[in-house]
Amino acid sequence: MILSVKNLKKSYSDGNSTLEVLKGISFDLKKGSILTIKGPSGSGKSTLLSLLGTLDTQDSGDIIINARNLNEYDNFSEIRNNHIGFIFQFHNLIPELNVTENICVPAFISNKMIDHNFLDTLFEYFELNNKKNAFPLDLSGGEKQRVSVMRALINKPSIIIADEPTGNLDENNALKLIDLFKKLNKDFGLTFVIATHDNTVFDIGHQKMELSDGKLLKL
Amino acid sequence: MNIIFLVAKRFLMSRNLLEGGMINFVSFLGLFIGAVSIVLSLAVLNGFQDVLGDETKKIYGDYILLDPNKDFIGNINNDFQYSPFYEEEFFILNNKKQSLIKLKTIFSDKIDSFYDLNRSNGMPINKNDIIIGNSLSDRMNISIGDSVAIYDTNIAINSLAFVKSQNFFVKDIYQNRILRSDEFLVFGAFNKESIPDELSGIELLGNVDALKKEYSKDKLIAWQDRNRQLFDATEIEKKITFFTLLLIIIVASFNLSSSIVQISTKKTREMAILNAFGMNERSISMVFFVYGYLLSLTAIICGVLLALLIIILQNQFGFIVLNPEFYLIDKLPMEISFKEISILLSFSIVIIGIFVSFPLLLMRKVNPIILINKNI
Repeated sequence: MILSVKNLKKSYSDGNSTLEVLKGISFDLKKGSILTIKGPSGSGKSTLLSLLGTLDTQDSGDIIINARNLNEYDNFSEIRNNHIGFIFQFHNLIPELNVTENICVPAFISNKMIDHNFLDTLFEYFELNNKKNAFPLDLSGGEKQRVSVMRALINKPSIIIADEPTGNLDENNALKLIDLFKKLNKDFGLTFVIATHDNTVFDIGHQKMELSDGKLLKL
Repeated sequence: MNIIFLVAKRFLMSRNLLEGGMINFVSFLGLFIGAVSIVLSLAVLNGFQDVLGDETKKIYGDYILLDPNKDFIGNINNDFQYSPFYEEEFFILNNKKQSLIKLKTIFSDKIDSFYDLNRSNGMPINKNDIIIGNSLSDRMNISIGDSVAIYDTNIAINSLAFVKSQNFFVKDIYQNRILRSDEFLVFGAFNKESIPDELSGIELLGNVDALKKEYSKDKLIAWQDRNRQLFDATEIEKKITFFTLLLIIIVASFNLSSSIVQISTKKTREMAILNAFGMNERSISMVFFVYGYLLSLTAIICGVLLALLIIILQNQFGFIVLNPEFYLIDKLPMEISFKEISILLSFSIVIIGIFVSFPLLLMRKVNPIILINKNI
């Protein structure tokens, strides 16, 4: 298993009351599979993805990525950098950096040598060869999202976490992105955890789950 | 590629002029002006100090050797020039006006070979001739060719109740206003035939390293030590100027702190993205630290370079002119001191380090979840 989640709990407190968002989530994910999660707004999808992505910490439970139990770590920067790739609803590119630099941010952070062959393959694959030196302001919405996907892939992470990846795209670009995810999964054997409202995206999952009332139900 | 340096550099050269450009420019300008002011001011003070030194040496030499022994002159080597002299205070009298003078008696051949007095006619002088300064000439209405009486300050009266005095011919007038010399210093001449028994000292020009081993510092005195008060005053003036103008750098550094706070506030989303992709808090702070240093050092180095250019152009073309009657020279003197530039850079690095670090201590921790999810 590339990802194991056991009895994951998370709640938020404002001092007077406590809101239990995740009430003991458990699941396993095989390498090279796609897990899609749907659920109504406020059901805790983004919270679950934040915990899986080490952007937040759980109250209790275990998250095991590539045989590493995150409870044994204090600093998640290295895990985030090397094992997890993020794709956000909004592209979240850094406007001061050009396309190539934005893509290479995770590699720069880990001080890795850039694999230029892999980078060229990505540019070819994502059809962005003519935008290498462009800045985010000069890109269309679809292009920005493709750049953000390339950024998620550059360090060859174990898992790609995508939170509403098509939420900010028109239908045409959303369909292109879905095809791209399927292709990446097939061609590179990438593992995806995708939270979405969009049924078209939801349907690409090998494992499909619904988050409701803090619990994850297999569909 | 170093991500900290890359991001800091890109924040500095912001494509959005209103968001980052103006903030950067204002901070840049303060430090730039500070650096230009310090380097130019110190260059002018150095220039005047050099003028002071050069003009002083023209009438006092590089060194003075006090109480020389009799064998000294006979054994002098060729590394330096020398001028034995005798100096004593007298009164000078002309047309019922009198003034206290210092009569410096030297060998007549040294008047032009050793000293550089900027004389009016350059005529040779003999035993009963004197050369007076321009100011003394104006004040006492003395012209070249006049006969003036000089008498002892002890007012020794002879048996007929006359004050002993001696008449001298004013052979020439010199111009050198350094230390107000031309108001009181009068040059006379020894007999050519022999070295007098009594000497006040020997003034020296050139390399006197050999003498330094032989004579102590209270016997062999440099021109700076001979005019210690004046030289110290110019040094203190330089230090005061340096620290006063350093205030510009300090005030500009406050502005730099403010810029870092503003930029860090505007760039929280970018920081959250970097954090999400694995950059730790310390490295994120380093981005702003490097940003602050890049901005300030660029400004200071540009300021220093502009100041150096101005100094070179001034020394080459003399476009800032002075009235030589007041300032001894006809163009503003400027002297580059790389030692002082190094001190300026060192001080600036320390000051900027403090002012760049301060906002980083106050900077709130980035929360990537809130910032990214809300797309701030």
